[in-house]
Amino acid sequence: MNNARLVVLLATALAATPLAAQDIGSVDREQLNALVSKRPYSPYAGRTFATRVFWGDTHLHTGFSMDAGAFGARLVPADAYRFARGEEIMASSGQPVKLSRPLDFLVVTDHSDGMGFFPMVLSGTPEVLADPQGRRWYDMIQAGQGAEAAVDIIRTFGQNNMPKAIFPVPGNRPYRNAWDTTIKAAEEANDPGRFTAFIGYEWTSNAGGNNLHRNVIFRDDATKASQEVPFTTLPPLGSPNPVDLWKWMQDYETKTGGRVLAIAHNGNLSNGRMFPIIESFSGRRVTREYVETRAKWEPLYEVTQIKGDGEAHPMLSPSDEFANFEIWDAGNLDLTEAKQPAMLEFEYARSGLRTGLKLEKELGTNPYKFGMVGSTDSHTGLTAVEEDNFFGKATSAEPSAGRAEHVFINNPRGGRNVMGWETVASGYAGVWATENTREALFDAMERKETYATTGPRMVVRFFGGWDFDLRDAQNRMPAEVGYRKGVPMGGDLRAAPAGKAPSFLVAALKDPIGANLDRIQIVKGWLDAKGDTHEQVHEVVWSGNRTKGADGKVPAVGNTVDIANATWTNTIGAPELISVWTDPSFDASQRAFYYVRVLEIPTPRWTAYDAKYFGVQMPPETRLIQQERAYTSPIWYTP
Amino acid sequence: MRRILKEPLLHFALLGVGLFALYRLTAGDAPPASEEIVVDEARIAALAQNFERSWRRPPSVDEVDGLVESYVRDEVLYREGLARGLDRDDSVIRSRVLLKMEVLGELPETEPTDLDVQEWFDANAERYATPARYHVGQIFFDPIRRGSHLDNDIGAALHDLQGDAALDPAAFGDATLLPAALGGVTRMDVASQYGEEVAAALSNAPPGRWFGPVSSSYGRHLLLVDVREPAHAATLEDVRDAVERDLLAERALGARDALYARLRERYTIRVERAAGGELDSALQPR
Repeated sequence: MNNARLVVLLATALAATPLAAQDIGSVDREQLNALVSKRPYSPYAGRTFATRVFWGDTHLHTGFSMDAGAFGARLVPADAYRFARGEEIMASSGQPVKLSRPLDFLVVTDHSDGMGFFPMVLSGTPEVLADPQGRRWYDMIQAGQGAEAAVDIIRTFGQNNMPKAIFPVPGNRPYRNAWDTTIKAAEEANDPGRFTAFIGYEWTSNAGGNNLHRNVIFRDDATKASQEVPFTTLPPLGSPNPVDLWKWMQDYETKTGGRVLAIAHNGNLSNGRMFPIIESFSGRRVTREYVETRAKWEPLYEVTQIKGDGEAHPMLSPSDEFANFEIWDAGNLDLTEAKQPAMLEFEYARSGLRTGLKLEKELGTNPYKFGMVGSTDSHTGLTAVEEDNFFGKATSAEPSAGRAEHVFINNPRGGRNVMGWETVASGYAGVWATENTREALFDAMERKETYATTGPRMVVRFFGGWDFDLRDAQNRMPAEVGYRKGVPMGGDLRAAPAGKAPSFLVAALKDPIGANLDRIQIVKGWLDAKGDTHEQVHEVVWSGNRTKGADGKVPAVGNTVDIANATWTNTIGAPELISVWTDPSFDASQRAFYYVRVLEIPTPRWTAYDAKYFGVQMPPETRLIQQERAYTSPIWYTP
Repeated sequence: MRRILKEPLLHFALLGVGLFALYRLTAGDAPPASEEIVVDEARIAALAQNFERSWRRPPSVDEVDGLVESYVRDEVLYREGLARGLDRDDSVIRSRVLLKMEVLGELPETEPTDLDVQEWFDANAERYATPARYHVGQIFFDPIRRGSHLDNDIGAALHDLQGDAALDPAAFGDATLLPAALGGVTRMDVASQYGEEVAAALSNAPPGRWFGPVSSSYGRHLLLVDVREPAHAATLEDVRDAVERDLLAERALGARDALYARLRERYTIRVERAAGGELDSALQPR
C-alpha cells in the first residue's frame, strides 16, 4: 500500500463531517459546523443524503388509454406494474417479455380523456351492451373486426360524438370505475422500500395537433387521490390550456391536502409552444402569474422518450457535434403543420433553459427551471426500452420483421412520414432518494435531484460549489464530499464569494451490464448584460489518452459495433469517469445554468437487433448505431 | 398491382363471389327440410334474458314472439350453412372454435384439496421463500490505474486484511462511485449495483472474511460478506392465496397440454415443404 496515498485518504476522511441535507437550499453550513465538529467512527452513521439512484418510468400507457386500446394493447395497469417489477408476462402481441432487471418505480399515466373505454367495450359491460352504438362496436369486435371497430371508435372520438351514456367522462360511472381501477392497481403494486407504484395520469392537450401533454403524478395514496377524478382536455369539463390544469392541481391540493406535480414532454412536437415567450392560448407575452404558476407545478421535464430526444437541436446548437441525436422535427404531433426553424427555440430543453434565464430577469421567476427525467411513453403496458429488448411505441409496433418499415405517423399533407425505425428506444428516469417510497421519490423529484437516460442505467453524480478541487475526485465517497461542499443536481448557487468561480464535482459509472463511457461534458448556458443568452459545451473528462484539440473538442472515442451480429466490446471507453471542473469564464453578474451530459461508447441501435433477429434488411436510411447518454438536472447560478 | 392483391376489400369481394357460386351450386341439392327445431321453455327464457340485458326491461308478449321467430330463422340458416360447409376455411370461426377448445382444455378436472395445496407448496417452497439478506463490503481495484501492479496490489491488500480484522478497508483500493458497503440487501440488489459477477460470488463467500478478487465489468473487487438474515421458508398460511393461484394456473396449463397430447395422438402429420428451405431457417426463432 502506498503510504502517501493512505495518509491523504485518512486525512480527507477525518476532515469529513457526516452532516449533509437533502434540501441544500435551507442549510446553513456555519450553524451545522457548530453543531457537529467530529464525524463518528463509522463513516456511514448519520448519513441522511441520497445514497442510491432509483430507476423508473414516469410515463407509461396501458389498454386503459384510448389510443393504446385502439392499437391492440390489452394489458391493464396491474399488468404494467407486474412487468416493471421484473415479472415475465405475455405482451398483447402474444410474445413473452421480461426486463433485464426490475425497475424501482413506475407511474401508469393513461390518457385522462376516455380513460378505460376500450376495456369496457372489449368485455361488454352492461352499459356498453345497452347502448346501440356500444353494442355495435362490441359485436364488431366479437365478430373479429376489432381493427375496424377501433378505427370507427377513434373517428367518432375525433368528431366528439362519443355516446354519452357509455363514454367515460368525469362525473359518470364508467369514468369513476376506470379511475378507481387505476388507483387500485397502484395501491396493490406499491410496496414501500422495494417498489413504488405511483398514482398518475396523462393530461393530453393536443390543440391543433400541437403537443402540450403533461403527466400528473400524485405523492398520495388512494384516500386522497380518489377524492378527485383526473382533469381532461375536452370542454366543458376539461380544457386544453395548461393554465386550467394548474388550477385543477391547486384545487386538488386545497381540497385533499395532497401533493401533485406535472411533467411536460415532447416539446419537439409542440411546434414552438412548449417553452413560450408568447403564450399560445392568450397570444400574449407570458405573465408574472403564468411564470410563477408554471414554476410551482412543473419542476421536471421529460427530455427523452420514444417520440424523439429533446435535449438539443443541431440548428440551435450548430457547434455541438452530439446535438443531432434521434431528432424528430418534421412537424407537430399529427404532422398537420410542418416545422418552421423559428419554432425550434421554444421546443428543446437546452433552449428552454436559456429562455428561462431571460424571463426570470424580466419577471422575477424562472418558469423553465426544470430538472430532467427520461421516460418511455410506451403504449403497450410495457416499459421496455432496452435496445435489445425494445417493445415499441404501440402494440402494433411490438417486435415483428416489418415494424421498422411501417409508417408511424402518416403525413396528411403528403410530406415526409415518420417511419417506424425512427422511434427511439428511450428512456428512463434516475432519481436520487433516501429510500424507495412514494414520499421520498416524489420529494426528490420536487427538488429536481434527477437525471434522464436514453435507456442504460448509468450512475451519475453532479455537485456544484465554490471550493471543489481535484483532490475531491480522489475521495472514495464522492457523494459525501459533494453534499458537504456543495449542492447536488437540481440545486442553486447564489452569492459568489469574491474572486471565485463555481467548481463542479462530476462522476459517472457505467451500467453494470452496459457499455463503457466515452466522456462527460458540462453544458453551460448564460444570460449576458445585453439580455442575450448563450451556450457552450465543455469537455470535462474522457476515456483513454485522447487530447483536446485546438477547438476545445475531444476526438471521437472510436467504434467497436459489429452491426451484422448486433454486438460491441468494452475494449474502448472507461467503466468510470470522475473529475472536478471549474468554469473558466465565470462572470458573477450573469445568470447561468450548468448541466451534465454523459456519453456511452457507440452501441447497436434497436434496429440492428431487429435486423439480426428477424434476418431482415433495414431501409437504407435507418440508423443502426448510436451513443446512449444521460442528462442531469442543471445547477443554476443566480447573482 | 401487388398492392391491390393485398387489399382486404378485394379478398372480401372474391370471397363473396365464391360463396354465391357455392350457394348456386348447392342450393338445388339441399336435403328436404325434414328436421325439427324445438324452441323449449329454457331457450325462450334465455332469449328473454338477453333482451332484458340490452333493453333493461322484460320483453312484451309480441316481442317474445318476435324473438322466437328470429331465433328460428337464425337456426334454420345456421343449420343450412353448416350443411353447405360454410364454416370451413373461415378464420373467424376457426379462431372462435380454437378459443373454446383452449378454454375447455384448461378446466381442471377436480378442485385442489388441502393436501394438493400442501404438496404443491412443499414442492415449490423456494418460490415463496424470503430471500437471504447480506451485508457486503467491497474494495475496488482499477485495472487501468494499477496496470501491471494490479495482481500484486490486490494480493498484498488481501494478505493485510485477512491478517488484521481491525484494519480500515477504506485505506485500500481505488476511489470509485461503487458503494463501499451495502447493508441488508438481497442478491438482486447486489447484482443491480455491482453486477452479476459479484452477486454470483455471494453464495460461496467465506463468512466474515475478506476474499477475492472477483472480476466485474468495472474491474476487480475484494469482498467481505456477512449473511444477515438467511433465506427462510414462508409458512403456507402466509402465502396460501398465491399458492392456490399458482397451483390452479399450473393445473390449467397441464390439463390443456394433456388434452392436446391425447388428441394429437389420433393424427398422423405430413408436412410438405417446398424445396430450398432458406426462408424457413431465416425465420426460426432463436
